[in-house]
Amino acid sequence: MRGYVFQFREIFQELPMLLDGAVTTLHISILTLILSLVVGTLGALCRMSRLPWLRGPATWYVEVIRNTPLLVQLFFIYFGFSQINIDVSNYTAGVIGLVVNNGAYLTEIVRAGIQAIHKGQFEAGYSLGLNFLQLMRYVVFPQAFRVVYPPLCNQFIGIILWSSLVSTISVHDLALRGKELASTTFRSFETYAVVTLIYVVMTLTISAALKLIGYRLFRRPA
Amino acid sequence: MPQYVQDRLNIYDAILFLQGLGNTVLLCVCGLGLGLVIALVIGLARASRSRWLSWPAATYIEIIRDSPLLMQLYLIFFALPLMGLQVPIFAAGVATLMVNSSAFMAEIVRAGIQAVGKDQWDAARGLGMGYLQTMRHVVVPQAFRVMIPPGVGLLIGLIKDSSIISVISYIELTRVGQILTEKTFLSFQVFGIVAALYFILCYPLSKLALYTERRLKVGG
Repeated sequence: MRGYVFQFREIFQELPMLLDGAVTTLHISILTLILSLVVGTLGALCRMSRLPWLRGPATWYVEVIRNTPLLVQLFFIYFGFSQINIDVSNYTAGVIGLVVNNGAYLTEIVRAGIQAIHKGQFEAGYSLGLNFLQLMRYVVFPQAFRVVYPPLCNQFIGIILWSSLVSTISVHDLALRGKELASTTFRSFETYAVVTLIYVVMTLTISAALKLIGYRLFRRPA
Repeated sequence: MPQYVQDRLNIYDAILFLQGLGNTVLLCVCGLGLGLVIALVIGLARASRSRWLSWPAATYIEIIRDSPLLMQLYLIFFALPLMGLQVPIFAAGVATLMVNSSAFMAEIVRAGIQAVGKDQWDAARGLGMGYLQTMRHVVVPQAFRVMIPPGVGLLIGLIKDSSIISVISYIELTRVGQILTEKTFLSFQVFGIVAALYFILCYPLSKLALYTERRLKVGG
């Protein structure tokens, strides 16, 4: 560091602006989690279906998404929409991209959860006269949730971190706020150090909170 | 449509795609190779019984794993010039992938080392081997086998993560996609091809990870 003096004052003055970005990041992450949980559940049911026209596309969806980068998926969706003249906001395009991406990962998580349930549970459910949806609703999902919860928490932390990529399509989340602040104050290193710290604090707090909730829900550490 | 806009992709663009693919592979190979060296050191420190070694290693791993790769890239990209190092963007990209992957790899190394049974240590001690000798001849060869499936998984992640290096304008595959989109406005086609090229790289690797994992279960 030749003669470089660290100055955090300007960064701390703009801290409310950064925290506002952090709120946007959380907002996007929670929305993504909820929507991709829906996608993941449907995907898992399709992947385990006996019908090949459901299983095939679901399997390819998972393979294609998991073997291509999120950034490319985001660009594909964001620039693709504008190519076919569909007008969506950056925010919407970002959330769609994140949901499409995480839906594939959650498909695998939910599938593993459902497959962890003993076969006897399905047989017992059917012999009680439950139909498929009732069986899922009352027997399978409550038990699968227990198995799915820990990887789901990890995935949520992943969503928070990876949501920083929506800054590349101009969604005003924490990462983009940081970038703007760095370019107005010329204090790049300090800004990104503070922004990184906010991310670390955010993810550590949330994962601790989720562990606590898991412990309360299941009476054992998640 | 303005003159400078192309309305279709041509043979020169195909060459650009391949160059981008080559640069992506180059980034990943360098990042993985250097990351592996750091990961071995940090992984060994993390698995060590001494707190003075294991806590700093744990902190390093935790901070890297709990912050976005994009921020790590910006930090390294802007911090290096501050330290008086004018490095090309390629070096900044490799450094980022190295730092990021080393944290994840260190955990794989630690898990691999801890998967080797305690009796192996006792047996090596009984043969009169020291710590380094035991590591070199007994533990690492066995741990390596356990490390392969998650290691391949990590490589897939690294290939995908390298797309983020496009943000600092290094011309790898994703950046090529952006350049061609600006030139042709054919976003679906261009990013479709980019995604397909990534898929060609990653899909065989994901099958390999699955295969090695199954073999490990049978053999283990």
